[in-house]
Amino acid sequence: MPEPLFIIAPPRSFTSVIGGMVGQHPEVYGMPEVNLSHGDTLGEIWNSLTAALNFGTAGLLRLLAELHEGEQSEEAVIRARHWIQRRLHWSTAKVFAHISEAAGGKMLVDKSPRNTMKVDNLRRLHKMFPGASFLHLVRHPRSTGKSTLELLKAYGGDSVSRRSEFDPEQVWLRSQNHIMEFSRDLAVGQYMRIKGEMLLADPMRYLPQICDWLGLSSDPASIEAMLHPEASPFACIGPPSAPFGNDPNFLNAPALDMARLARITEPSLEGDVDWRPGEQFSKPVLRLSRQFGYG
Amino acid sequence: MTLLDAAQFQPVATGGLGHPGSTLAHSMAWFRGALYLGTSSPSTRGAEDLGRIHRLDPATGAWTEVFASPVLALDDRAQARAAWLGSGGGGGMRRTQQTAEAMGRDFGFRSMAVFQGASDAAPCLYVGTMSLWGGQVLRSEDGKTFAPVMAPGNGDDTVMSFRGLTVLDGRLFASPAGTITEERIDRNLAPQALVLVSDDPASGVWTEACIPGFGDPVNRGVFSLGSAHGHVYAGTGSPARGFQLWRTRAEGAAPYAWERVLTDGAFRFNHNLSTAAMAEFNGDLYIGSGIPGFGYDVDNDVGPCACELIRLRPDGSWDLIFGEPRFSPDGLKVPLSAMGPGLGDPYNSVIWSMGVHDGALYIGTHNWEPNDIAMNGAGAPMRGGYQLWGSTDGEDWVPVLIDGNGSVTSTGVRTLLSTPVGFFLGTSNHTKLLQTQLRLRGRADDLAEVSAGFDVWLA
Repeated sequence: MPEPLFIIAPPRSFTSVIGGMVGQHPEVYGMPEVNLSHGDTLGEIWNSLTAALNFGTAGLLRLLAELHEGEQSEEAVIRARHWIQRRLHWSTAKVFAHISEAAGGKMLVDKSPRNTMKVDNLRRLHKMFPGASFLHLVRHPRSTGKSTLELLKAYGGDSVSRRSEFDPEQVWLRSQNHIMEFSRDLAVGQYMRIKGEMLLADPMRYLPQICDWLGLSSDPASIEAMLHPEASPFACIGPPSAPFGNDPNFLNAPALDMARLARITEPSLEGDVDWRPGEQFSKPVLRLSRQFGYG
Repeated sequence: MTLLDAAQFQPVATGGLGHPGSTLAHSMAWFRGALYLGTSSPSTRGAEDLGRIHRLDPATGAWTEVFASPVLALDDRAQARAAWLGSGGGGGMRRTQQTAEAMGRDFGFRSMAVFQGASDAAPCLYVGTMSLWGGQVLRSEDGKTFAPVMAPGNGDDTVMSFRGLTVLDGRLFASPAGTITEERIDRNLAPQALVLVSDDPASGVWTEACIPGFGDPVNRGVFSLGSAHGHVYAGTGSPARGFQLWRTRAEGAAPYAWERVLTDGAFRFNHNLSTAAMAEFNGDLYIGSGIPGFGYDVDNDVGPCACELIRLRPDGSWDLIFGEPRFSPDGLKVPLSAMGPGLGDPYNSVIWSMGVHDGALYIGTHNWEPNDIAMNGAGAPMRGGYQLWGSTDGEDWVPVLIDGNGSVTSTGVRTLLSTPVGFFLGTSNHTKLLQTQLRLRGRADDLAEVSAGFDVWLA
């Protein structure tokens, strides 16, 4: 199987839309969030995923339903769940191999948020796929944090975001630190980083570069396909028992609004943190942000 | 074309030519048929540690000290400034011991150029100084007597030095570097990011060749100057955004029209904090980057990271020769040498010097592996030291000298100069610093027998 591409980033870093774009390349199979990095067996992974709204499990269920039956009906998802439950002893690598074969041997693209929650998750992916490519997407910590709080407010019942100890700045920092620590061990060229704002504001400039890096065709037809993430079978709300498997906002409106993307700006690092009035970003966050090109 | 090899390098000066406090072979020029070497004592502690200019007679191999900085008494103000010199200049550390009663006016000579100004009867040797009292430019007609042709700091005596002496079309360019006051020292950032120019330095008149910071406040200093394909190039430093590269044809009256050709550290952002060395080779400009010292900017918390090499064509397009692959507004940049930052060595923090000799380009690094071993090596044998790499096409690079060419305390190649008698290499030696770092960890014996002071090699 071709070595996969992992898009790695903290939550709310444009991974859905950019993963959706890259995933539409004709030589690529863009997966929903399969969350297959935090265990060595399917059982270890499956039993740890939360059932709430099927956020963690929906991606794999929808993917298997689509690959096995060419549809994501409720019935197909139920059969995918049964398929999983009969194979909890499978290694994660074997699951990936099954997916790759079913996807026709295309390059798999995964952007699961679990991948960056621990550095061990990233290392597990690398161990399974020593030649994999890792695309680190970065987004300004201010807009990432605001987006995180908005999503939690909309889908988390506000309970998480109201917890005094929850700070999206720390979520951003932890995830970035995991990625930076992991990337130090990779070969030159195996890891690349790009500001999401930069890519989305000018996709015609950066998508061909990503193709060239990955060894994919950057012909006009391929780039045009990448501008239509809405064409993915996973770019919509799924059946009742597996509705998401990706950012709900993206699933509700997956088509690119080029005019809006062209207006993307980067906020300032200076000034109060929006969700902590009277306080500035911490020094570690400022340090990494400037390294990433914000300032 | 073939590259030099290690066996061709022979020592022509060792131990700082008898001055262990002369740790830097800081500048070189070929003038009136001889090599001129400017040396520095950046951590000077007294009248012995001062800037000197030595002349090497190529026929006899004999060195002559042709100029030593005059020694001046330190008044209270100068004492306060001198107290900073042992501090390293970062992190707010200040040396606390009593300073000397007198010191050299110049504690180093960091730049040299041969240039004939409007009122010079013949080409003269110009030298950029480092000084407690404000850096200057010196001029010599005969290679024996050297006199200032600039007021201290060109009117601002907190300007520590002048570097990057560069010639283009009958004009001499220089950039102020470093700030020294009674309250602080910064060895790289001048009070303003500027380039100065003079077509007649003997007259003492220098003009601002650019507006401060090239009009962009992120530019905190001009770190290097060079000339290539009819332009003067100026590389800046910015801890917030990374270096910018500007160029001008220097037409009309100063300040000239400048064009920005690279920005945001060539899109590596602040890990390409500053340019460090430049050279024209095969019609292109090669730009080396780096963060001085250990690749870490203490004051601004940037790094640690290793250096990169970039090639700029006359039309402004550019290649990454070695460094961090990246996406950029100018296209996908992958290192043409297939090597990452620091030529694959994370300890190569700066490309400190470049030289073109016999059809090949050479780059010399600053390498801080010995310092890391001394501080954190847990008793491991000392290793590392400067590296010299060479290339005949600018893309395929091979190591010529490694590990300080046998001297673990030789951490940098500070100067490279091609001359009619061969290729000279001048080093930076950190014996004192390494001995201190080892002593603090109970390992003083590890470097008990090594010599201090710069070396010069000839190939």
